[in-house]
Amino acid sequence: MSVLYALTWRLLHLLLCVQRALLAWLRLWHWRVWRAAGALLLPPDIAYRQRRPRDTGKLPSAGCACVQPQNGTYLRQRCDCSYLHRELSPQQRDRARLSKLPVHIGLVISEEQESYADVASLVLWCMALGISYVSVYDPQGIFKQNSSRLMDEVLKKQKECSKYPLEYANGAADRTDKGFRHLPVLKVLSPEDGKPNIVKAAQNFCQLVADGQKTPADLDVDVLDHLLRSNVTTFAIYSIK
Amino acid sequence: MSWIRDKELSLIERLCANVLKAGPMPKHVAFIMDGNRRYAKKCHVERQEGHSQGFEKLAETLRWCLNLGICEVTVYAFSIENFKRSKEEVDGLMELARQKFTRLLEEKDKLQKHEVCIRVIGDLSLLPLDIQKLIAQAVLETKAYSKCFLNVCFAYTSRHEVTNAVCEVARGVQEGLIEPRDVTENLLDQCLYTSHSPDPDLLIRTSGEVRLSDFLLWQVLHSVCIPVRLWTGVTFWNLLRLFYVITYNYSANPEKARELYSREQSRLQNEADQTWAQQKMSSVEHINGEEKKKVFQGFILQCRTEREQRTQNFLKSLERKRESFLESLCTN
Repeated sequence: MSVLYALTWRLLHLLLCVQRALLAWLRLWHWRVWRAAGALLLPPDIAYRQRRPRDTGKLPSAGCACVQPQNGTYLRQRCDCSYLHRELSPQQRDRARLSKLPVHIGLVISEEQESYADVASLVLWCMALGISYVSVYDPQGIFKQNSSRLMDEVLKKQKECSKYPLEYANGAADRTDKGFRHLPVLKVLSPEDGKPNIVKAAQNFCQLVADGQKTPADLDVDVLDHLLRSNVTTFAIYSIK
Repeated sequence: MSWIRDKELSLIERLCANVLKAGPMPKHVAFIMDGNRRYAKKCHVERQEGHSQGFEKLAETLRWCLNLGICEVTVYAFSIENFKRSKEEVDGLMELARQKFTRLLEEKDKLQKHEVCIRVIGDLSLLPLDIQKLIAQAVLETKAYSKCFLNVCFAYTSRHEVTNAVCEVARGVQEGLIEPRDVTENLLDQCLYTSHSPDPDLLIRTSGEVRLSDFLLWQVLHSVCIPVRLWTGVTFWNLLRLFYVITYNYSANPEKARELYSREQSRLQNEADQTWAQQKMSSVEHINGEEKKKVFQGFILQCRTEREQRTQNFLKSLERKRESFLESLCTN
């Protein structure tokens, strides 16, 4: 009987795999057709205007959308996006349609082949949308090892879409800038920043206990949280002014 | 209502379950029970009624898991954050817990029949004393069973759990049982409340949310997390579909990832041992090459055995401490 069950399972599994593959293929095909049709029928400018005629009224003519209190959640006010008003306005217009904006986005990159240019674009789009913190993580830690390369790529991309000068700072020198919420911060993380970081914090705390400077009762969630935050030494701040 | 139901599956359900069981199945499933309040609002009933319905669903789900041959289930029943809800609601939830744990103690024969071991995971000291006593009784009585495991996370958040583990380790250091350099990921892992259970393969979050809500953050390293709709609306077929989805998503081979991870752990441990041995070597008087190698190997071996011994002792004492806490609750 169990052989029969196993056979049925395999058969069903195969059928479902085929169904999935078909669906995925159809979806891709569907999308391609629509994109091609759109490109053929409408020049991009008209397409854009026709799609969103109402948004123009919402957008402030000058100044930053963040400081607009009327349709603002506090999340939006946190970010200074003066740099958005130059070349990145499509993203900004998209942003006006969002009712809520995340403060921190984590990107988990699990591609076989790492593409710095694509990740840099992703980071830049997030920042252009007004997200203040972006973290990039990959399970092999490749981006962290080559974080300067990623930074260069981000800078390059940024230059491509904006003529305005950039400032780029790395590590400790700009620590104080972290206080300014409006500067977008990019962190590049690897598996070392996960559990090993907690272990390191625990070891440090235990050392303090062994030296008699602390007692186990001193530790609570907030203290541990603080220890973990202070442990992140290698991180880069990417700022655009 | 009882924790373990007698209701059997219908013929077609049993057939499907058997077919599904022929494939790879998760061994440990974790549930975040959410949406009871939303359900109550939707059906215009009291909040408390919503929570009771949620428990009913839990009992039903446990039965299904038992039928599907899943021997370990973890449920997130009450978060430490939930203490911040209105007093009335918290009291209601505590009353529900009181009733259900009392009921559990009355159902000993059923627990024995299925050999269900109950573990309550969380900071018990935050709960009212009578509930603590009930929990301690339930945990101690089912301690010996080893066929099915039900972990109830009560007054739990993952960050508290990790903090508690670090605290315990620090206490071990203070008492001189272990040294700061003995603190490793493995040791912290074994100091967690969940040290006795394997990591969950599948985490199911109901009510369509995709947040983890501070639940088993340390343990879900290689798990698949799936959101489903309202907890009270979950059916047997939903569950079957979810368990199938895991086989699909799991082709990425978590076993391999786990193995790689543990290999990396032991490599790090070896490195730490070698650093320690090298430090020791510097204190040794000048000796020639061959002998030097021997002494170095000896140091590494000594370091390893001593560390393992200390760790074992510490973990044993921790285990004793946790057990005696429960026993003291029972006797008082």
